[in-house]
Amino acid sequence: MLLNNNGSRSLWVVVGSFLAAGCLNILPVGWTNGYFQPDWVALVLIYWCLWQPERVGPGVGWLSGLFLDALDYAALGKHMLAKTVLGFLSNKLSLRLRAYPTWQQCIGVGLLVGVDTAVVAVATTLAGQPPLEAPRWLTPVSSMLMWPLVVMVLQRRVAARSYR
Amino acid sequence: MRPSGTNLRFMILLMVSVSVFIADARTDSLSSLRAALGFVATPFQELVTTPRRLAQWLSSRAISNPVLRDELDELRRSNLMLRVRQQKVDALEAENQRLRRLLSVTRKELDRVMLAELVDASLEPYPQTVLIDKGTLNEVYEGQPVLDAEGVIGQVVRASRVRSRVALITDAGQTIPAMVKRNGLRVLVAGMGVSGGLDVPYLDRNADIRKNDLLITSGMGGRFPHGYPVAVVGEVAVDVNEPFLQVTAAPVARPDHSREVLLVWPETLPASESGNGHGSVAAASIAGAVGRPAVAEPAVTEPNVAEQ
Repeated sequence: MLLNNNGSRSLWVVVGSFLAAGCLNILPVGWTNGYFQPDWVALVLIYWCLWQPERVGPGVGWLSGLFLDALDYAALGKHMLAKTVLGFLSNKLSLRLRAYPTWQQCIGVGLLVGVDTAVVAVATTLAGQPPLEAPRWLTPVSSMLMWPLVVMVLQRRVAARSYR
Repeated sequence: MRPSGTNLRFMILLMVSVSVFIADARTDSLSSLRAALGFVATPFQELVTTPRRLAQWLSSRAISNPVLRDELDELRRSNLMLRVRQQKVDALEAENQRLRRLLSVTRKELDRVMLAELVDASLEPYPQTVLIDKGTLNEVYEGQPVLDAEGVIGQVVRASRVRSRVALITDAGQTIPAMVKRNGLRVLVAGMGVSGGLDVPYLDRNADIRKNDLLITSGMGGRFPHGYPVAVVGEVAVDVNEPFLQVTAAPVARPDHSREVLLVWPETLPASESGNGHGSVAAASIAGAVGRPAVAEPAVTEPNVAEQ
């Protein structure tokens, strides 16, 4: 019963974190000219894939990709594809990455978001849309820098649950 | 615990994603799903754009009286000018219809328009597309022309229920049939992508086109109505190694300067024309088959319409 209670509460934490990340993704940040554009949804997805691999994986990744596609009003499916891959890879790397200190995790997170960006770029090209703008390729870097923040915020939520 | 199960689920999801991607890119079968998804996304955009709109509202409340009075004077002046011009347009419109009736060509009336606002909540800040706050609920359709006060901005490429994505004419995939207003020379205006410039390809080396020529929509292709400004010709260069002129142009519309755009329903839609087939055939044959002589006619009348 205790487990059940915890489970349903953490479900809302997970859903809420994805919705908040989606809002951050579409937040107009015109003054950065697109140079600082972390993929918050990817970061949140990686976080849950690392710390709750048995609950969050490619399936939740797919759903978050659907959400991003909805926010994008462009070709359907490209974020779906990217986030499914991202969820799968993060799950595979969860044990290893979790063992590292946060600043070392940043490098792995940067690489994972890099893969995500590459999948989006390929899908965009295949859909016949103009290729991604150059600043968009800085997304892995800016996401990497924001990783400690995401860990800090989400870890505080989970600490009370004493998972792990 | 169950690695094979995870792998299987991953493969299935991957295939689902790829098939959704292909189905959406190649066919129209997912348009209803897309519309529904767009509906889901709207509240998030509203939430994200609220602070900015609030700030705009507050600053509009805080404008001082003298500023408002100046603006009112300015608006009164421009309104007067526009009304004078409107009278002229009305007369020309009536004359045009009379002449068209004589030619028994389809009646061409002023196009129906609707104001739409830009939505500044984009997932990827593509500089070549913008999001607007009108959708299929407002009868927006894909391929619809979008203008601002200066000229053509672009066309709708994705219409969702209450939001639509508009590809700017500077987008690398966009080409508009246009003509030189001065002499009616038919040209194509193609977007060049990131640089934000326009290309005017396939012009003979002896074509009569000069710097600062205004290019207006020609109405060919039936998508953009005739007579709206598109671009101003920039450099015209002759390269002896190339078969064509190297012509660049700059768009006249300024999507970054205004938060409002106009959606246009052209009165001579291909769909509505198919209803009275005879008229469209007549129009097409005049525009297409007769070619050069037909071009000369608008060249004479055009400056009167637009420059009064």
